[in-house]
Amino acid sequence: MTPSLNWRAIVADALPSISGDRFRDDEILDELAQHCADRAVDLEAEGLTDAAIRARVLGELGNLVRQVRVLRQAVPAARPTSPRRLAGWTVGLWQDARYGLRLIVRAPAFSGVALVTMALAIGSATIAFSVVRTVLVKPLPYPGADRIVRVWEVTPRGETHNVVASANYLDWRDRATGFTAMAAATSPADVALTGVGEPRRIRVARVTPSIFDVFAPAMALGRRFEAAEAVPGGPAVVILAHGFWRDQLGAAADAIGKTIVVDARVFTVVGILPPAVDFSLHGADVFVPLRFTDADHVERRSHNYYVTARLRDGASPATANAEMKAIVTSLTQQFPSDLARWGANVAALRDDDVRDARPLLLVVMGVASLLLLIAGANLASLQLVRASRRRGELAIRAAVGAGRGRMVRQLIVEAVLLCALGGMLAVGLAALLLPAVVAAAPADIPYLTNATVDGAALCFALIVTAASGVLVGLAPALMLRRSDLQPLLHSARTSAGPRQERVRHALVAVQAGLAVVLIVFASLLAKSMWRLHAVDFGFAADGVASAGVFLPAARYPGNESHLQFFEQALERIRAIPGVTAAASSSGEFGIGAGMTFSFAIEGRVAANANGREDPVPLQAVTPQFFETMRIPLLQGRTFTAADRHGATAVVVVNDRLARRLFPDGSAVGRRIVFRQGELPWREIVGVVGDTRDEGLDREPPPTLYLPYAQRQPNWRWMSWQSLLVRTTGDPASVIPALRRAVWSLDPDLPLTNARPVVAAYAEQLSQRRFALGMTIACASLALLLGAIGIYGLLACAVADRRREIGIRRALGASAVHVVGAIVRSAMAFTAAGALAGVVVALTLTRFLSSLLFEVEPRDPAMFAAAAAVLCGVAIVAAWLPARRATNVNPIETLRES
Amino acid sequence: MSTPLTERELKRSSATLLVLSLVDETPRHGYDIGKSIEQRSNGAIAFQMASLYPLLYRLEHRGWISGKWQQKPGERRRRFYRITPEGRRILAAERGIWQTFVGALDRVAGLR
Repeated sequence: MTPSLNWRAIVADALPSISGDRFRDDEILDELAQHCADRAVDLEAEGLTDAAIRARVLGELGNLVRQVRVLRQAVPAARPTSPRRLAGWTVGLWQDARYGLRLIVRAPAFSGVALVTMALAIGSATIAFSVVRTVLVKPLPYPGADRIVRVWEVTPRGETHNVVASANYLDWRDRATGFTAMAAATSPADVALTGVGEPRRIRVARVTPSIFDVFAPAMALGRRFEAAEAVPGGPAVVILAHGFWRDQLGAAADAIGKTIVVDARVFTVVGILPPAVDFSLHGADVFVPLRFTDADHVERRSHNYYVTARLRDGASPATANAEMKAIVTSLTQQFPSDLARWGANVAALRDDDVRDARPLLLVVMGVASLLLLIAGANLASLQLVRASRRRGELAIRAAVGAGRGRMVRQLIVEAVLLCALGGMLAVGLAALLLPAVVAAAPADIPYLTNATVDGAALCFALIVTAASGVLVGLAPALMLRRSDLQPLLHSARTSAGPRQERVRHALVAVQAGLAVVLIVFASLLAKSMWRLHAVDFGFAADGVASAGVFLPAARYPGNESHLQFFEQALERIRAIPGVTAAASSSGEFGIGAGMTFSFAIEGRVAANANGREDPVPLQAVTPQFFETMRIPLLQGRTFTAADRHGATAVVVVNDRLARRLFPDGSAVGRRIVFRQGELPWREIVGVVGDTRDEGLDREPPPTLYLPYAQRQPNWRWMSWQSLLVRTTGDPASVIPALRRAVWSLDPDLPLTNARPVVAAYAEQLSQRRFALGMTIACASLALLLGAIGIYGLLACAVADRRREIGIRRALGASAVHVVGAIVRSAMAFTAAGALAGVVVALTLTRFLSSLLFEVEPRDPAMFAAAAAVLCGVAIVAAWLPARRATNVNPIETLRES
Repeated sequence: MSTPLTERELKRSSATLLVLSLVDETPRHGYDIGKSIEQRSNGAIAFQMASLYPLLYRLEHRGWISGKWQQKPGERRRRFYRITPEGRRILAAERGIWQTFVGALDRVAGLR
């Protein structure tokens, strides 16, 4: 038996490089292996036992290996001349790598599982890294981007990110000294691009020319806006975003001077922005000059503008905040009724832009890191199992003089190799999946679309791969004690020592614990989602489609034309087969009313300094609105066609507003006025049910409704209305007919956000859904890995304990007893790990709180459920190998030993 | 075995002579060389791997012997060493030195 040992492999493992020349080394290996084989044959002929032969030949080989220096001196010519040791080490490393590769190929099942594990884990981590870096860290494409800040108004209610009133912006701009430039812009609004095929919806932002001083972009083509273009009546000029220029104009080099038609007005293109530059007005396709009218110079109540500024050298957001506070204080003294309790807030642009996305991204990164840790622990425990299988081989190598260092190196090289292959797969996987992740991610995460698997991501993957390889390889290597190995030489025993078993148990416990953390995350998010789906909209959302229409002032100058358009449009829409009701509203379901108004109540002095109630969302709606949405009427009446201009001015309030203003239930019949002395008193004629207009996870806002026909002529923002259509069938299928109905009146009007109302709500939940999806995917993977870990560990333990199990069975232990004992041993450390996981999760779930809904971050039921799920999976994973133990034939195992 | 140091010194100084003489007779592989030395010396001189192969490689490096892979029918592929013309000159010189030396020892110490 012994002479058939693979001496080539043994010598190859034992001997470091001799000549530095692979070919020559191979020759020497072959020759020495042949010598060992010849020697073994001769010794066998002398009648020695197998064990004695093995010991003798290994001893002789060991002598040679210990004096390898002498051998090297004998073949000096082929030795490399310069840094010898390093070269030898490198060649040794190469040998280790080749040997490791052979092992990987020889164990396809193990290698397959390990590769897929590492590819998934490193791939997810790389994707998470790319996303997080792009959104939170990667420098914005502006010179001195860290000096750009946003300036917000702070509302009396303490909201720190309110858009700014025009007069306030103009005063800030003139008074503040801490900035080199300050600019205002409107949020990108939908407009119609016509003249090229179907009317297309594009987004236009109005910006002050100073925005080019704040962001300082190098124009791709053309020029910036000039100050003269930002005065009322100035020329109609437009600057295009790079993407728009590329997609709509084919990146034409002669685009400057060309014209485009936007909302029926002709604009001349004067400049093209460089790629990725959008002044942080995300989604804007084109930019036009923002022109402040005389009215804007005194308007402090209508808050519409996004303000950005560039800090002067030496200034910081903190000093700027201090200066802004002083300015606001002096303005408040000047205009107490408008500005009482208002403030200002300066924040670094990047931080400010990503503040909503940050919790989600950190959760994603955290989840991916946990998965990586689990995969690492999993691979380490699998490596341990394998290392114990290889104890015989390692013992031989130790016997022939392979130093501990060399064997540690071999084990680490093997693990690094596995991880490197996994890492390569991972980078491919990341490059493949990143676009899908970006597409699936919520649209409101800024900069996300710039995410690619770039150099930084590759570096990250490389570092993670190398670190995982070393850590994974270190686990079995650390347990390599020569003293553990020596006695094995002469025995067939290949079971693990107690020390090794402890480490294996610890690794599985770590996996179990981390898996519990992920399962807790997933279950908390899942419960939130479930709660959200159980939330009452306050109206019947199913079967309703909505679409936005904006009437450009050029073609629809006044109230009458608006009224006429919507009356005609709704008439045509109601004629569509399957449509049971149609209405329009100035609010948008899933987003909210957009406009808030304050008002005074007849016969009552409000507590606020300006004598008016706190502002509430206002919606102007057509008569059938409440019927179309099936919002219940609680008191009084809703609107009719008779509530027109010239008739008694009326409003409807929702229950929440009615209770806030008239807790005694006397809302109907009371009167309010928006601006003292300017408007007629409006009578409250009805109270309707509360609706979650701003999203399922937001409380229903206290809301004021008024008939569209009774709106004020100067409310320009009401040129935008959302059409609401109730159908008997699928609301998505009515949208083409809806579009045709609108275009039959005006072929140049684009419809925006045309979709079922439930889809609008679903989009609003996209951050939560994305976090849930990611976490569930990672948690499932973690559970699977944990199961593999436990299974591998127990399969190995059962194999190790065959003899013991055999003896027990021979002594009459029942199969149930044996299985029970093994499963119990697995559950002991799994449960310990799960418990530790619960403790870790308790400290971590608070980072989830912004993504939770009506669920406590420490919901005990979810923690218990997570631990139970893990233990259930662990029991199944343990039961499979345990059952195999009962098949152990006592007689056979005893004979083997 | 009682005086290993002396024996080792003797072995080392005589090793070149022993190996060259054996491969002068016929090409031999490494294991064969070691085994022949042990057999012919009735076990008095034995070369284990640890000393044999460094010696063979040194002689080969000096150009006194040359190794070549050969496969004989029914056997494994082995590396056979044969003596070179330079090796033959060295062997003759070594033999001369040892004859003189052993003769001198005999005359002084009456070895025979």
